[in-house]
Amino acid sequence: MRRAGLPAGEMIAVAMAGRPITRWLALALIPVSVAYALAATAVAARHGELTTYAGRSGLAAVAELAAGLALFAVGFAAWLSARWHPTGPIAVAAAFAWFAPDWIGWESGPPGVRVAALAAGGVTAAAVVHLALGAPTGRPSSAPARAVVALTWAATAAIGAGRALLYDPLADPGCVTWCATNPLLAHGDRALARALDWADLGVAALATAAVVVLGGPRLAHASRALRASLAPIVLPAAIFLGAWTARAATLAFSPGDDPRRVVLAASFAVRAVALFAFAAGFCWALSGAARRAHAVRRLAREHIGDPAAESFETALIRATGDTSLRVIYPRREGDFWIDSEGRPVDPPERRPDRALAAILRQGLPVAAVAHDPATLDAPALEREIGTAARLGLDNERLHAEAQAQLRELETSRARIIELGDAERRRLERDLHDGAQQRLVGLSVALRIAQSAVDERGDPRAAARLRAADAGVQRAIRELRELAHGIHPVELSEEGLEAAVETLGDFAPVSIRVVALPAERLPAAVETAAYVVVDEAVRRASGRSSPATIEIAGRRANGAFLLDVRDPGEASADRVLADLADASDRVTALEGRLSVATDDRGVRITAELPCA
Amino acid sequence: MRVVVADDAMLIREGLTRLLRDAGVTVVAKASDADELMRHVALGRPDVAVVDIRMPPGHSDEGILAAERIRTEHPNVGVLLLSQYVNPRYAMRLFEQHPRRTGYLLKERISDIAVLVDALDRISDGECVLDPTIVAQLLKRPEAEQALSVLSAREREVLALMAEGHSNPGISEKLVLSKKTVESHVRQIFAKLGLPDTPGQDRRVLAVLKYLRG
Repeated sequence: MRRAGLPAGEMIAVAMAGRPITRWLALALIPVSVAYALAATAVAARHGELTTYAGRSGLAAVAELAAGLALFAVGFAAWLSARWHPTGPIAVAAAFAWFAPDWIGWESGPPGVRVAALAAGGVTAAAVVHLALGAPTGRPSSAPARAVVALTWAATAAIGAGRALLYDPLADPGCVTWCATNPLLAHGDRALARALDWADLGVAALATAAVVVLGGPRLAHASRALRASLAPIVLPAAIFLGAWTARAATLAFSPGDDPRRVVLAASFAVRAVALFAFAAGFCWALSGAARRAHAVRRLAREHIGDPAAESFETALIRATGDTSLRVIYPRREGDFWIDSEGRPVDPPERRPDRALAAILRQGLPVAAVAHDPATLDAPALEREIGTAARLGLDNERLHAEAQAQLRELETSRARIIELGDAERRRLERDLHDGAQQRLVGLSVALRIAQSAVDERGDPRAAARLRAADAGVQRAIRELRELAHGIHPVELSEEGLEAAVETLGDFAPVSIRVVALPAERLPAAVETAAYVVVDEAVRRASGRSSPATIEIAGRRANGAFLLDVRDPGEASADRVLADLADASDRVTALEGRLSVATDDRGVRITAELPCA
Repeated sequence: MRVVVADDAMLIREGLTRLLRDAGVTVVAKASDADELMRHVALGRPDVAVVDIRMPPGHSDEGILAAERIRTEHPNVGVLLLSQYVNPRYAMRLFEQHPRRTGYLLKERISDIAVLVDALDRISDGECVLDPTIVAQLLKRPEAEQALSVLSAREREVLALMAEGHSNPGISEKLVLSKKTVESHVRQIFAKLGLPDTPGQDRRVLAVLKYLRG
């Protein structure tokens, strides 16, 4: 169907962009492969009664055909799925090679076909190694796995080519499946051909071990969702390769590829069943991905209807079963990422074991979804999230941004208060250890001068010196009070309990400490709690009615709870208004200050986070 | 009277030494930190060590720690702590462990040499000494004022002197009263305040201070 106004060439370009050419190739290959499988089975039945497994028994033929067709089916399904990855073509190649024994054993068949089949015989096993280690995308995630896959392919190609060029069936006394001229024979060398059998065994054994060694731990450490899709692939693959190794070992130790040999026939049967299970496992994994994509699509539609219900992240985890999934948001300023609560998180990085879907809205990133690549395709996620969902995600991003700004504000507030406290502590020390010491020294010097003057007998000068000393003494007292008001030394040196007790020693109102922890708390918490008590005591001091302020503090559930009771006060609002500094400090520490009234006066409660 | 003076401020250390010598007190050694002080106490065998509460390296409570060590290691050597803080906690901490031969005076007292020498004498006699400013401060507390309203003016004077660490003979001398009168005042005070039986001189200061602090 032509679209009006669109030139044909451009239409093809559009079609190619939407459906890559490999998809056309896959579609064309489907009938070819079915015909191929049926032809191979027919050849085995008619021309391979003695030389092929399928030809020897109907059951074997059915098993071979079922396994091959299943592998074709899953290969094409993967090939044609929304996102192209190497799984499809590899599975299809494996299925083609699976029927190789039928073509090798084609009695009186074309020698070219038989030698080609001989060369391709190892492809199925190599493909199984590749697919098992790279499941489910066909791309192995770890460097050792990639190395094993590459080496297996290289060795398989080398052994296949070597057999085609070096194996002379006519010189093989044990030849059964193919005893005719090898048209590609370059150098008939029986010893070299035997060596290839041993090489084949080595490759099969090593590849099988690698799949067990690399796949086992991957299964063990995978998330629940990933394990559910990996296990049905990796386990049949291991069984298939085990049987393949058994076959290679048999041929290496005792040459003669005879379908009548029990070990070889058993290996074939096991491989057929395992390959069928392998294909079924792949099918299960692919359909799981499709199910999850569908769930995400539905989620992307429904989530918008009720944005308050749950976060996008929670919804996505529920839809995909991937508990490692995280939704993070970019900050507009700078290259920072935050979570939904505004907490800074590490910037996302692309790793083989971690997929990253960037969600854009109007060309700007609104969120990134980091997830397990096995459970969901990043591009699928990017595609499935619709415009409405993007709007919802952008709202979540704005919320996270606001949270982050709030957090920064709180941090800087806490820092300012902390700096101020440090400065007050320093000032207090300077006054005590500097100015006050000097004044005391001055007072001593005045006394020494006074006694010298006394000796000389100058009463007026002595009186002046005495007056000067009295002035110095007064200055010392005033300085001490000033310094204590700036910062009580007991607070930093002995802690809250000591500071509150000392406050009680000097306050014009009575203070009763019901309970306070003797252990030290974080300095900021101690200071904030002290300021709460100090301000409460100070405002009570201004009153004429005597009342005992009661103070109780305890640690509970990662917080310090301070309770100050003032029975001489009735208005909570008035108290709160007078606790400005205390309130600032408590909120800067992300705590809570509240004032309540009951029949025993007002009750000031400060809750300070204190790990 | 032999004393060791420990203060990290040179001005005060030297001035204090001069004043003490003028008053006829033998200053056997001067120290500027706690370690030096401990050495001089061990070598010089003074009657009393006059110790600044804040000394290097931490400038916090090194003086108290040194005082506690001196009282433990040299029971015959008394300690007079000089402090820039009106802090009864420090004094009580010292008296709790060592109720004899200890004293706590505000630093500026040192220029009043009579007070200083009196304190040194009392300490070497085995009494303890607490600065009158701190006692006055404690007596001013609202609870204390209320509780002490049952006492007569004279009894309050006696109580204050007890809190300052004076013994009965000391009080009778200060108030120009007979020893017997002082003893009956003391008994009266303890009865009126509901304090347990008159404790020995050693524990009396602490009991009174605890009562005053509520």
